[in-house]
Amino acid sequence: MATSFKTFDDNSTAITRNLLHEAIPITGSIVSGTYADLNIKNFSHGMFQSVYDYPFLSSSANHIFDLTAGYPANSHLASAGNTQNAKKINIYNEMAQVLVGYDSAGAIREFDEDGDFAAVGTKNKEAYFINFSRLLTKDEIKKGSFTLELGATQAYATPFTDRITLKDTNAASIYKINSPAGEYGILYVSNSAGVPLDGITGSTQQAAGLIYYQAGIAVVSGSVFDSLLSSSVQMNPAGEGVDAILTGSAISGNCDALRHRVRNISFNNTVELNSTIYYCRVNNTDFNYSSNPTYLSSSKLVVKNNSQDLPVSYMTTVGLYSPDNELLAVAKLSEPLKKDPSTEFTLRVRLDY
Amino acid sequence: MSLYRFQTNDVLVNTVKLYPSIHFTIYSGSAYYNNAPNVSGAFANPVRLANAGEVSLYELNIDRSASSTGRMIGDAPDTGLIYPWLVKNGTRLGFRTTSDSVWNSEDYGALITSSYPLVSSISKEFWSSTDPRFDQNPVYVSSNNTTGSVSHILALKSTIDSYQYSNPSFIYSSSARSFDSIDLGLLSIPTAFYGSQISKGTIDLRFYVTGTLVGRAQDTNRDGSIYETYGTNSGSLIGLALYNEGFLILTASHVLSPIQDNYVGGAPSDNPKWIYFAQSISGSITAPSSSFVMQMSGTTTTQTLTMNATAPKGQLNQSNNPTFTQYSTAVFAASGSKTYLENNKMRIKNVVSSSYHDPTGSFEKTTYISKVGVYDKNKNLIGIAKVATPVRKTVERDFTFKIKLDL
Repeated sequence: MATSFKTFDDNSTAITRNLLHEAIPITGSIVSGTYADLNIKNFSHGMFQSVYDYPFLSSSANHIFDLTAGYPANSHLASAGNTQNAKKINIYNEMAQVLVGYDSAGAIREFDEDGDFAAVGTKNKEAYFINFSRLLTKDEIKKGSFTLELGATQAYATPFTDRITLKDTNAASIYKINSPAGEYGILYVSNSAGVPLDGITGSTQQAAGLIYYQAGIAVVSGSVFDSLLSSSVQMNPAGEGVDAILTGSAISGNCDALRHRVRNISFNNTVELNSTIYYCRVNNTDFNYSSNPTYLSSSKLVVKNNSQDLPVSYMTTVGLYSPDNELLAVAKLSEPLKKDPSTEFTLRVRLDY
Repeated sequence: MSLYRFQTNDVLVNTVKLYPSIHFTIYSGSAYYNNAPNVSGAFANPVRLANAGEVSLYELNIDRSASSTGRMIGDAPDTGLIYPWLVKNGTRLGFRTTSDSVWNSEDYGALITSSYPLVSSISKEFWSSTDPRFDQNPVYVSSNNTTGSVSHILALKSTIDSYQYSNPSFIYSSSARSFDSIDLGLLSIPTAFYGSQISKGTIDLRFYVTGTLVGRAQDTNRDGSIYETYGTNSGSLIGLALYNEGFLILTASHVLSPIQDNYVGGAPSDNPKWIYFAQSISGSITAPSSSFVMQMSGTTTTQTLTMNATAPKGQLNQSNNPTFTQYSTAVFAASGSKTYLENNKMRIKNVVSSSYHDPTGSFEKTTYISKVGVYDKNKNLIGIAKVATPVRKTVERDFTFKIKLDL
């Protein structure tokens, strides 16, 4: 129990902010192949597909991301005869409402390739969406750390001979803030193995998607399997291209096709750790006495051997009190600290929240 | 949709106290928690990278193995595993797994890494009567600092003595015996398993030799004393339990069975005794003839918010659901460039049960309540409670929905 109080002055507290990260690698074999799709959950509503890191019937499994696909009503692919046409439009609109927002006329904006809505730029009309779990993204994906490697070989059976990579290159310093869902970066496509891209050699030459850092959502343009490549790839065993499966297959079939071509996903997440540091200054004349019942025996200090010794105490705990003298927090020392008038301490107490 | 304000007695917060069961089976260098086996995965064995007797923080890295990929994830190397990292800076933040000397030796701006999984497990320590309880040769460094350490049992001396008010057996050292000079076993149970306290009266230790129960001990008096309830010396005190701290101190050295086993590394085989209980948790001691079962209950407290949402009589009998009105009823009566006139003659679909296909019986306003929305004072929807099946609400019925939310 505290027997005396000291008030913090302006120089005794400091507020700090620290960023704690986790490195998150997701290899494609988890996403497709290893567990014979026992880690893939499809729903009766058919609007998205959930991917787990282990067969989802196991209590050990963690949900890692959801996959879905869609296009807007004005896409050249949209047609009432398409499989799940309305659902694909709804999915695109829903994602666009949340991530891109509305224009001044109240219409839903479409995903813009370079995020510049002032200019009439290319829109990502046919898109795959990867919604990462909060477990993986925590507070946000670290800018500049996102990598998605996709197989770009034409043959369906051997997708990874040629590969492309989508990266948020330079996003640590150059990112967009004109989204209602927070900050986002541009995913640039580049060759990873072989030269599957059609005339694209620069690392920031061609945008092919967007990554929303706080929302934890990657938007991948369907063109990465089609117009950006020298040879369009086969997205399913029947040899259909990306346009054909976006129109002719259900959303779950599109998700299966994307998973089949995911070689690797990796990013760092971020947790913002805010702390207040209290510097508890113990001067030479402070805290040399204790009200602990064991401190005295027969009215003599038990920690002193003779009466000429300096008064001495052992500090074990620091209590932090509110202005109303309510005990708010207790900091414990790993071992008692000997205190006498010849010593001074500054105890650094950090409170994370 | 109607909005009602919760009244004073409609919202209450209470605490639910739960007693989770803890069951450990210990055999041949392994412990198994709540009968969970070790499961191997496609890449890792065990699949959680944590043994069956361990709990894993966050439970990340399921079925992953460390491998050098040569890739980088931003600034951090890709090792195939999820791991935390931070940059060393002036806030002096680091991981508990990084020692001060390692942290200090790194440059500012360097990556400090830790690893997952972080696991928690029970452990057993044994001291013979002659084993020292503290470092007898500490190295003097400065006036306030010496190297050296005390054993875990000696570190608990003050804690043990503090419970003497409730049970005289809780004394570290007395004229009858001293924990410094007897054979002694200490079982440490982390709070991750039991929560805030081991539930009193639930400790149950069973000692098996070649599959036969040779001893059983329980804290039958709920005062921290553990008594043998089955065995060669039934009724005797065999140890003490620190309920709040999660320690079992085993002190009984009487023989439970004539069949000997190897309980202490480097020592000759000995008869089963309570001090050897759970000796084979660690891999170095297998004690192949002995197995152990330890059961108890923990204590957890969860604050629960209970909200009573009342659907009064004579209210909530209207729905905006399009199926509430009869099919083909026009929504508006007239509309023009300056007019939008709603149809005030919309017919409500009569859903009163009848023996006939299209009921002609007496009409009754009926709705089906499927959800209760909870709003904050600014009318932001902050929660939705769904009922398992829609509840039929008629004019003369009133309901109270009891909504619980764990805090």
